[in-house]
Amino acid sequence: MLAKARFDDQLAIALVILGALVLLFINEAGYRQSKGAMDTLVARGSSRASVLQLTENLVNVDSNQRAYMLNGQEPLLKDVEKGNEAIRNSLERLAQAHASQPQHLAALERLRNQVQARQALLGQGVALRREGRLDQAYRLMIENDSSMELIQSLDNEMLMFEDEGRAQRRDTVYHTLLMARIGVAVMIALGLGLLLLYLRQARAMLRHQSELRQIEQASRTGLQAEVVLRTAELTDLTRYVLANREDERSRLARDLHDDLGALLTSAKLDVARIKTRIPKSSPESLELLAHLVGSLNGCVALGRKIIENLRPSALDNLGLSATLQILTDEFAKTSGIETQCQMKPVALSPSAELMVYRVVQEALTNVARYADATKVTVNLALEANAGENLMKLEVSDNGVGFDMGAKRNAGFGLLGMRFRVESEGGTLQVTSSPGEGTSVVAILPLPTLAEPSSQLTTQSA
Amino acid sequence: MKTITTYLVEDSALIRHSLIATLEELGEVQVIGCAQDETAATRWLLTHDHHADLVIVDLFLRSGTGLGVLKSVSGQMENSTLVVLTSYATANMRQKCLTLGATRVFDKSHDVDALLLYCNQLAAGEHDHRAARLLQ
Repeated sequence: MLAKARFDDQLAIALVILGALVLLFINEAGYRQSKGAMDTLVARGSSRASVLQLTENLVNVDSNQRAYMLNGQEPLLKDVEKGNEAIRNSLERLAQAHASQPQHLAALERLRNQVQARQALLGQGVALRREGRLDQAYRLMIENDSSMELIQSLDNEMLMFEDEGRAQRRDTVYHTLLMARIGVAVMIALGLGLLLLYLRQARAMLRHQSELRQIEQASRTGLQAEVVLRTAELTDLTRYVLANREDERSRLARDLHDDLGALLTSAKLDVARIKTRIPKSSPESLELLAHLVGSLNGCVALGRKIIENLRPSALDNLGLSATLQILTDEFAKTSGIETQCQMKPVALSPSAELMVYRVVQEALTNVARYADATKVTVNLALEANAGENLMKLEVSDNGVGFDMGAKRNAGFGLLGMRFRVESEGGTLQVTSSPGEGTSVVAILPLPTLAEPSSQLTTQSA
Repeated sequence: MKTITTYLVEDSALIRHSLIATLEELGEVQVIGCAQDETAATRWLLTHDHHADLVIVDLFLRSGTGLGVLKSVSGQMENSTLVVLTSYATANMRQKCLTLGATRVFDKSHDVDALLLYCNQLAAGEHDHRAARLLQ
């Protein structure tokens, strides 16, 4: 749609430019044509004047000669001579002006012949008057009076030519002016049309843009609502899954502890009974029984370990500090990594204690799996910040670290840790860079009145 | 050597069965009654028309706890010896039980032999509760 609009724009601009060029061309051509026509008109005007002057001179010369014939005054002949000169000049100018038109030239030639004949006739008359033969001179004049009329008619013919040319030229100018007028009108119409088109398109574009904005806004709002909803759902789900997992672990631990414990105790009691029935003379049987007791003890130890992993009963029995101490001691023993543990007694709710325990457990698991460290420190401290008591848990190692920007396998572990901490209202910060070790810090605001952590009763329930 | 009358507070039928059989087979022990929860145990123990020399108490019961039993009978059973047999024999728990009047705390997983030995010694008069008390 936008591409089409842009194409339309380009087309409109091309049309306007083309139209302007055409108008310019028409105007320029018209100007040239008009200028030529006007020049010709001016020239024609002057040659028409020449014709009129010629006629006037002819009349003057004729009347001067007639006057001479009557009174014989010599100065009149000088005027005649001047008039003849002017006539020759006029003829010359006309010849030049009509040089391009043979028809006109032919008429002009006839005029010239008639004028010369007339002049010759008048010259003859003047000569007769000088000789004193007045009668003959008069007769000559009267007999040839009609030649002047011929000249007049030829003059008129020339004037007709002039007028004809003028009319032609005038038509040309009118035509050119008409063309220019049409051109301007067309151009204005075209311009107005394009302006209208442009305005309409601009309005359509604006409307379209505002529609797009509305759609975008609506979809963004919808999307945001969706994201908020989904995030809340995911958070709830994760919390539910985590809680469920802890419950399930607790249940499994309890079952193992109670049922497996009872079975093992019962077995051991049975062993004690069997032992008294085996005669002292059968050392192999006693040895076998001792082995059985060893196996049963192995089972007890394994059961305890599994149960402790599932659910740190030590948390309930011994409290957080001692449980963390046991956890870190065991970690140091199994991983061979030097582990330092500094613990301040912190009063936490049972769920917060479990959170701290799980975070330390996960952090230590990560250290053993990825860090390639030689030393780990676990710090649990109380801090006061702006009148608020904070629990600060820090697990840091001197291992290889990792690039915070890159994803890695422990990503979900960290995510799980963060979620556990945030579920308790705290924050988790992980800092690491390649070669610089890793530090996991959990901060948890403490309620002003420390709740005493409940003991056994929670587990028995 | 005399026969020790014993009362058992234990909610696991399996353990009850094995323990009664073992005690009666090995020592001069006669189990005269059992309870599976705190209320029944307390009621039986505080009724004076019968007497148990030894009371073996488990800490986790069907309802209530062994600690509750110890607390309820505390100071009222001078002629009986109270011992705890539990699978939660942590140091903390041991201390708590001893404070509440238990003489010994046995771990179910590790101290079965020790319990049987203790019963035998008690039958032989080596752990006379009253004597021990008089000596203090």
